[in-house]
Amino acid sequence: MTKVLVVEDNAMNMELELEIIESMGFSAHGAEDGKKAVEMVQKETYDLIVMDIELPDMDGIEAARMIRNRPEYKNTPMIAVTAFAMKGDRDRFLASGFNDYVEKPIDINLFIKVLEKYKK
Amino acid sequence: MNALYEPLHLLAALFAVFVSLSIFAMTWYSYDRSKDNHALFLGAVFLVIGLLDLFHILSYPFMPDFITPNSDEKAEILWSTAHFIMAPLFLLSVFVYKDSFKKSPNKLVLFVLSIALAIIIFILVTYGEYLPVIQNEGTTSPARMAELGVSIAIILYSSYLYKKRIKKTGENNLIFLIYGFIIITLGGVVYISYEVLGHLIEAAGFFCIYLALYKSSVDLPYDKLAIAEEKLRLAAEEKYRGIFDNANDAIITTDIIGHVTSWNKTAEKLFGWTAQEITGKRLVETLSTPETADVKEKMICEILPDTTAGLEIECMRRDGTKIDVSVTISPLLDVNRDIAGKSLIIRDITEHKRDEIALRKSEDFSRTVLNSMNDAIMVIDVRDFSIVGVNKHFQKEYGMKEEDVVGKKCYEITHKIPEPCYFRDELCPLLESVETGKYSTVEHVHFGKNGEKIYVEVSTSPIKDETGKVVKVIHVARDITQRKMAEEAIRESEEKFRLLVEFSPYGIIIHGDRKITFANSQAMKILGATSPGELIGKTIFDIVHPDYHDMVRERILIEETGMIAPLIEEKFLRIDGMPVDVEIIAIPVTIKGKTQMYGVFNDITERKKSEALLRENERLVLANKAKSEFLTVMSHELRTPMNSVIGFSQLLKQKTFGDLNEKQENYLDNIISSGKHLLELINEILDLTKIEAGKMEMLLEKISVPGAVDESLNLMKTNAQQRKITLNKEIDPALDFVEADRKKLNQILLNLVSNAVKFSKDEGGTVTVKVNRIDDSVVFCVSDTGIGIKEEDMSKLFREFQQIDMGTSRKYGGTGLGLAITKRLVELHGGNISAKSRYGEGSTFTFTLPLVAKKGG
Repeated sequence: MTKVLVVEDNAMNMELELEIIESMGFSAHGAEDGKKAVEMVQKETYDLIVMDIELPDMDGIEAARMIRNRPEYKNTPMIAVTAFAMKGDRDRFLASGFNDYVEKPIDINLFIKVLEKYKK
Repeated sequence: MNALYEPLHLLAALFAVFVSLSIFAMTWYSYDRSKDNHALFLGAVFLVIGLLDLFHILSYPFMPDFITPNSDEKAEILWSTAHFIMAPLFLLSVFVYKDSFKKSPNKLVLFVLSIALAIIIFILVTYGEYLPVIQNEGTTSPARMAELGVSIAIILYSSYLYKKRIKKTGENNLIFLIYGFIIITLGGVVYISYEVLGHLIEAAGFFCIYLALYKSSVDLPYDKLAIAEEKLRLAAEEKYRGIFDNANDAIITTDIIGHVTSWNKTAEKLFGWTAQEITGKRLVETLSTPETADVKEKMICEILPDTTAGLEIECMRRDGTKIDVSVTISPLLDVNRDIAGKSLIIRDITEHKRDEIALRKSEDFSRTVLNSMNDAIMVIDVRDFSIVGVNKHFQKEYGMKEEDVVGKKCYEITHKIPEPCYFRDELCPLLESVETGKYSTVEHVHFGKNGEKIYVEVSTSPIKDETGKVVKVIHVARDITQRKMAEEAIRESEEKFRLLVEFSPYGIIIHGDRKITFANSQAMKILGATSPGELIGKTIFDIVHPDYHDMVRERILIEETGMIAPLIEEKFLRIDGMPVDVEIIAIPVTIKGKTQMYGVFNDITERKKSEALLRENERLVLANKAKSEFLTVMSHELRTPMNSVIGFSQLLKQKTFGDLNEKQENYLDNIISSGKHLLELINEILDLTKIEAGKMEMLLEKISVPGAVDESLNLMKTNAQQRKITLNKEIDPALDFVEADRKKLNQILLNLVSNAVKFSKDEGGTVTVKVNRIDDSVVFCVSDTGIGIKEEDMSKLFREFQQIDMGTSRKYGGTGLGLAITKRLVELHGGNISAKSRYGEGSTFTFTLPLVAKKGG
């Protein structure tokens, strides 16, 4: 079973994303900020990380960078799911080490399609 | 007859012939002078008689035959014929006066006629038969007697007539004529008996006639001449005596060794000696003072012919006083042009001498004065502009010796020109003085010592003769070069500063006691004046805006202490009352204790304006940036809750959590659709923000025009078909590419086509896309047959958040930002967009793009 870490500070969005991911048969844990996410990836190994960008304390880019620095997460797919949906944002995030990008508000079907790509 | 008779007879006869011909000769040759026709006539008569007497002599028997054989008779007849003819000729001569003929008779003709008459008579007598009175009947024949009688009668009658004539005319000499004829006649009578005696008496008669005619022909004319000469001589002498005695000069003549021969009245007066006293004395000894004797001796004695000598010398008078005289000595020549004596003309020059000394003294004084002057002085003869004299300073200044300039023309020396100044345009003070007779002055340029220019102030004063005519001019030239140079330097410097001030980009005004005394052209320009007169004389407060009066007063107080009032911004008032912003610095300048303020200012209206503009711009940029940032944040913050709204709705709709009834499903759709609309709105706001913040990048490339049109039409195809709307395109076949940003062009076209479809009427219609090329532009027209736009709403098009009415939004959807974004996108390409519409009939939106995009458009 694919283990997914969802990093999202907004509780409602966290719930929505967890629901969708779990509805796909994935197992999912949530982290409400970057620091927590960095902690969590040390305790357990996740197959996929869904990361919001705008986060308290440590933003998604910083968190992703730190996670990516860990050898076991070197090739772990990370999807940026963010309300930064301006032109160039996508490229910016992909360049920061994310494997994919989904803008908010998410289209469920699109989101599912993207998640499917990284199913184990 | 004895042997002595014949020679005696011949001698007597010849004597008579000689006298007779002498008469002829005398009258003949004196005629040219005497013009005495009476004498000439008688001369001709005696030529005939003389010739006949000669023929008579030649006819004597003892002479060789004369043409015909000689005989006593032949001789006698010739003789008596001569006497017979003489009587009527004598009578005739009574009526011939000295001036009987107006024209002088031709003497040659008369001579020839006389000779011819004598020859004719000879021929007649010799061949005899034609003259009845002449017959060879002896000397005492009755015929001869008759002849003699007639002759005597005629002679007596003639004598009587002559007597009367003499009485009348006073020709006393003619008495001898009468005696002569009578004696001749007597001779004729005597001849009858004593031939020789007859001849002698006849000769005596002829002599009487000779005397008479000598008197009238020779004596009288000579007497007259002599009298006339004497008269002339007396008159001339009288005349010259008058001149001689009354001459103003003493005139003296001497002989060759110096004895006085004449001495006129003036000489008497001059020297005190009378002519009588001095004549014959040695002139030199009488008049010389001891010390001058030698000189005079020499002068007087050694004079040569053809020379005249003059000298001035001192002489002694009779009373021992001395006088100065001028003496002119000329030689008196005799007929052989040898010197016979001398004439001396002596003039008293004592007075003149005294004057001369006085003059010389005064001249010396003048010269000393002139030479001590530091002006160059010339005296010029006005007749020919020649220099008469110059002073020392002139010689120094012009580098010439007096002897080198005297006689030269003034213009040659001072102006170095070959002709007088009046051929030039310069004012000549010299001519001015000549013309007006007054002092004249002018500034000129002369050439000095080494040809360098000297600026001079020339003053001329006329010198007049006794008639008041200007004869000379004193020309005083004062060297003012230094002054002139200084003046020129000042003028140059003034000119420099004047130009500096005049062309200064700053306005400059000068005011003293608050009154404006000067304004340059920039000041006039700033203050709106057309001439300095509009500003000069006004007070400084007339041109300062009332708001600044207090400040200006304070500044003037500062300036009055001698300090510069620093650069500040002020407001002036133009002539027309309009305010003008200036920046001004004021400098006090004190000249001769009077302080004037120099205000230098600059019109800063433009600068102020651009400063304000810049500030406004900055504010706008900041505001824009804030707006842009705000919208970005807003977009993010809106998306986050929208994520939940749409996400959960979709999740519910997937019925993962159980079935939904129809109504629930519809409401979920409403939530999803509203959410999406909201999202669309957010995206468009972001687009607009980016355009306004200048963040929109342009990726220019060549885009196929038909391709771009097709793409937009294809996207709307389904929608159009559903609403039964026909989509048309009309593209200029020559048009293939346009340079533009692909995405943006697509967005523009899609925007307009979707609007056209959206606002088509429910019952269908047509949407047409036309593309044409006009010049270097591509013109896109998107037209529909839709609802159209009301005229009053046309102005709201292309503005943000402006849908034409509130109802539209509800009915047709859309954010109200589409056209605003479209307009900006078109403008980003350097194009423009416009709309035409008829309410209820449809609209046409036209936008133009440049065929080749303008960079930075």
